[in-house]
Amino acid sequence: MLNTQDIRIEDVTRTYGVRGAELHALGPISVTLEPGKTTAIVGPSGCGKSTLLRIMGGLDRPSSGRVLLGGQVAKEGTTGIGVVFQRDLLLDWRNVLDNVLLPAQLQHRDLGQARSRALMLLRELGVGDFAMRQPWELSGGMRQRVAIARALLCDPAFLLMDEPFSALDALTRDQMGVLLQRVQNAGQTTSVLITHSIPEAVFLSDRVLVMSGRPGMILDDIPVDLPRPRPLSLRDEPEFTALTRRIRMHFERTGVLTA
Amino acid sequence: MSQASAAAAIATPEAAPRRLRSSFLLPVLSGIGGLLLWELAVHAFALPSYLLPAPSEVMVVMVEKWRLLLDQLQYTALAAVVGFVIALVISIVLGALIAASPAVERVIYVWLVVFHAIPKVVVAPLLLVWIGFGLQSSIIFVVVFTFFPMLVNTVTGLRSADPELLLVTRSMGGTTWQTLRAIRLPSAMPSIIAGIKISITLAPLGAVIGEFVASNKGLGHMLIQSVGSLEVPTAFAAVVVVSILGILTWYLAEWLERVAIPWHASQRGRAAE
Ligand SMILES: Nc1ncnc2c1ncn2[C@@H]1O[C@H](COP(=O)(O)OP(=O)(O)O)[C@@H](O)[C@H]1O
Ligand SMILES: [Mg+2]
Repeated sequence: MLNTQDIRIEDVTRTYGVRGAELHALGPISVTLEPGKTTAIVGPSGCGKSTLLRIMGGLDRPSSGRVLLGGQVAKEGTTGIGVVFQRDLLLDWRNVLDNVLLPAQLQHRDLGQARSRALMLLRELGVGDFAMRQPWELSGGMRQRVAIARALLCDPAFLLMDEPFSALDALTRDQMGVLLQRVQNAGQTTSVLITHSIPEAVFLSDRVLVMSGRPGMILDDIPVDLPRPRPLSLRDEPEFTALTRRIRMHFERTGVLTA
Repeated sequence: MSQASAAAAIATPEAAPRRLRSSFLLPVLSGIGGLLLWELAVHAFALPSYLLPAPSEVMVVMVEKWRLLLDQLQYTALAAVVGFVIALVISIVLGALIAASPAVERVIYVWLVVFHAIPKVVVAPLLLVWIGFGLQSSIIFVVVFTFFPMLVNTVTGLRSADPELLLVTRSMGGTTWQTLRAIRLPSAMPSIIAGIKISITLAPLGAVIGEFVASNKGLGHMLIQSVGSLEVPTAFAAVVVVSILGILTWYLAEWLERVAIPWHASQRGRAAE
């Protein structure tokens, strides 16, 4: 496994050319995400969160500035990154286990070892009995758990998640949060969680970055010093609600949320 | 779901034979009924067999000439199979090139469109001039007849991969080639198979038309010749055999579809039937 590494975002902006016009979608943003920690990013829709995540994953280039993953410029072809997208993006032509094994195959890793790790991850995520099933036989929540197992298979140093639970119902979301904590390898993996759920951001992270509307910039940077592992009941504690209130205030002030 | 269909969906032990009965019995009865009507009509109106032979007459010819028919069938089927395989290879290779490179597309596509617009049946006699008499003419005619649907569907298929799925392999450090194998090709399969399904039934047709003009063997040649000498029952026998070939190729395509893309929405659960 790689040593824990930080993510440095340095003066990153992204501008899209849309039908001749320029659309300034993001930034400038500068922030360093501590190694081994989970940082949640919340912000209004369209503020550039997905764009930022794609840049961190080397799937898109910033218009200016740069992102360093453990000191290396983020670029395509880098391994050691696990990405979970909003859609589970499972491949219909592979069964559940083979979907999880995809990164090990692409990176020419030992498949026997990868297989036992895949089965273990699936078990921990509560879908161990479905390893030989086809993706379409699974519910939305189960599919997203498979996608998480796939992202974690090769012990990534960086785990990037773009609204991974937003397509799920509220009960399933809560359960997924608890499961994610269990498999996330806290302390080893540097994680980024984009979400539009304020309680989810606080519950799962060590730090919440609040972004402004487009072009997205960082409005607030809130440390979350709540003990781990965190039970769901933590959400009723005053420390927790104080944090969610602080985040919600930003959105109320900017008119994104109206009470 | 209505109550009736909900009840039908539950497979009780008695329901299975009932479904079998309605899915086999009705088409068979309908076929036999039609043949009987045809037989009766021929006798009732005393139609001469050079106009319209009775089904019984065609049957007699088929039994008498089974050896000859089988020979011609082999010849026609050979042309159809060889031509189809050549067309398949051409269309996949060309389709991949076109899908991969806009420059190749711009150079080639215009020719393909022109080629496709030419009425091939009308040009068929030219084949005789260019390629001469025999099997190669039929084969080339099959190629010409079948490659276009497969080519178009290959191009469409290779371009139809969900762009977000492509991010999956890219985010794992996958190469272009790995992305092609893991995402693009499987995504293209349903479309490629659909093209094959269209083309495969055109293959016997192409072979027969090729034999009309440029062959002294095969079912197409037999058909033309027996019509020319007013042996209409023999012509009908040839038609029956060509049809059987067409039906077989269709089921072959269905089978291929089931094996190649069992994961596709159109196939799910079919393997269990
Ligand atoms: N490929 C693209 N081309 C043009 N505009 C884009 C593209 N991707 C995103 N955008 C625009 O950039 C802005 C930010 O998008 P995105 O990063 O998806 O926001 P978020 O994930 O925060 O909702 C949006 O206004 C969106 O329309
Ligand atoms: Mg987004």
